[in-house]
Amino acid sequence: MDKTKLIEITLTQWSAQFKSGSKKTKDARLNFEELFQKWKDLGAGFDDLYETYLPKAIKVHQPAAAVVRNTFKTLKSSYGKTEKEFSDDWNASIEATGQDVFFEFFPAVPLDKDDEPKVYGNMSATEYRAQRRYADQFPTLDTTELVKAWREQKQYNPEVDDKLENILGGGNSDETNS
Amino acid sequence: MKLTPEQIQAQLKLAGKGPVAEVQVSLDDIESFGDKASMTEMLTDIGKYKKMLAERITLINDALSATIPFTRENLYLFCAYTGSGKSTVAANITYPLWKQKKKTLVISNEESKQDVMFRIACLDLGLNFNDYKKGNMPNEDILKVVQLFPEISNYVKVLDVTYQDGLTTKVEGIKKALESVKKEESYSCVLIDYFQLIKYSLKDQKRTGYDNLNDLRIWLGQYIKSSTMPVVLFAQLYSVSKKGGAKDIDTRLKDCTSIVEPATVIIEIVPNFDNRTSEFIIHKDRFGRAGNKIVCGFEKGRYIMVSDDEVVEREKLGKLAAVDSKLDKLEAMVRNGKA
Repeated sequence: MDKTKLIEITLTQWSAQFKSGSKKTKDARLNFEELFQKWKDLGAGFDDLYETYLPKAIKVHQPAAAVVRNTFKTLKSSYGKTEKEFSDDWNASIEATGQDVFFEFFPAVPLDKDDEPKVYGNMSATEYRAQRRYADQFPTLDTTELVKAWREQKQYNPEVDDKLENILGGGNSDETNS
Repeated sequence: MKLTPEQIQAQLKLAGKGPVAEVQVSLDDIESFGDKASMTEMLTDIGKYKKMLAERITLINDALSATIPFTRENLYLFCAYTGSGKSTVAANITYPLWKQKKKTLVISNEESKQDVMFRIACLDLGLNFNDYKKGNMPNEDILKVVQLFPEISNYVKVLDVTYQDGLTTKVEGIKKALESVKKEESYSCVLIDYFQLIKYSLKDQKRTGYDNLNDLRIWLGQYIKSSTMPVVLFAQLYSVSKKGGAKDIDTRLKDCTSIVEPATVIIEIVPNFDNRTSEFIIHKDRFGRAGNKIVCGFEKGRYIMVSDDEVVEREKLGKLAAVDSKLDKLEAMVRNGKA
């Protein structure tokens, strides 16, 4: 069975326990630890889990709307917030715990992490080849004429330049940008 | 006592928090386009733009100077993958300006001030800066380098990471330094190496790195509009291979991609080790060259102009060198095998 399937089955098994048992907020850390350890044992990594399965796991542990409503009714006099705010806070606290535990088990791999030996300056052979392919997409500019003009500093016809100078004279005395 | 809505509005107005005045665009405003006042305004702006172009200064070499006007009121963003030449480019920008006796401020939050100076001196002497870093530079050469420091420091001023306890990594420190050189007006250019390290704030230590970078980005956008010199900002890029070879530069800029907005010119540096050249890819350019690249030779730390023929020649030599190197390795393997 492939790894993805095993990750899904583990998540389903883990979710099943909450249908009958407790999913109290105070138990969230332990519950997440249990799931992430199982995923880790399967050889799953950050990239396998972060975008697809972690949000599902967090959602499983977040309270059902009915539970939120009943709890809110019981607590509302002392809580001082609306039901929506109460629900958001609760969900956010579960999400924060899930993320926190996840990063303990699966530290985020830096995007630039490259374990290959550095062959070209600070680059691995793979990175270097990718950079070359990338740079080859851009056409090379022929700067011959531009350089000639730059060196001769004759980009403007002097006669036209003088006339233009007369028309635009007012702007040249002002150093600031508009 | 309960205030009436009018009284509330009046109080808010006094506090400067009143509603924004309703925007008015009259037909007269629209019809006035083309009158003497609007013509004068447009011509004045054309004059200012032309003057700005006329005040362009050298950017590394003739090929880059001719292609990309390097002048005031512009923010030049030079980006590269780590170790691909940001600090080398900084030295290459500073070097010709020093030779022309133009003052430059280098704000370096990565390299030390002595390394910034060392790089520039190496360019003048034709020495390899990396030899010094690896401990392979003879003492005679080091002496020649440091003897140039007083001369260079007349025109090149460096604030490094040790300045005022790391002020070059703090948004407020960068702003103050830029404001100071703007007031002084004798500076030809400011370089900041590099953007992503300016992630702290003195005033609010709770702000995230992104908040600080974004704050600086917005401030720079205002600053350059009246800047008396070009501002060069270096930035780190994510690896091309990890970003799937995306051609769009925005996706590869680290930490605060919106720095592309105030930048008037964005150039990516890509070294080519096979033919000892570096490519300067122009991603954004208010002067109209975006989407192209300029190929420069890389000799003794300097980016030099090369013709197409020279590039072809360099490629041939590069391939020959690669074959030689492979043969050497094979020979060594055979020798070791026999041994």
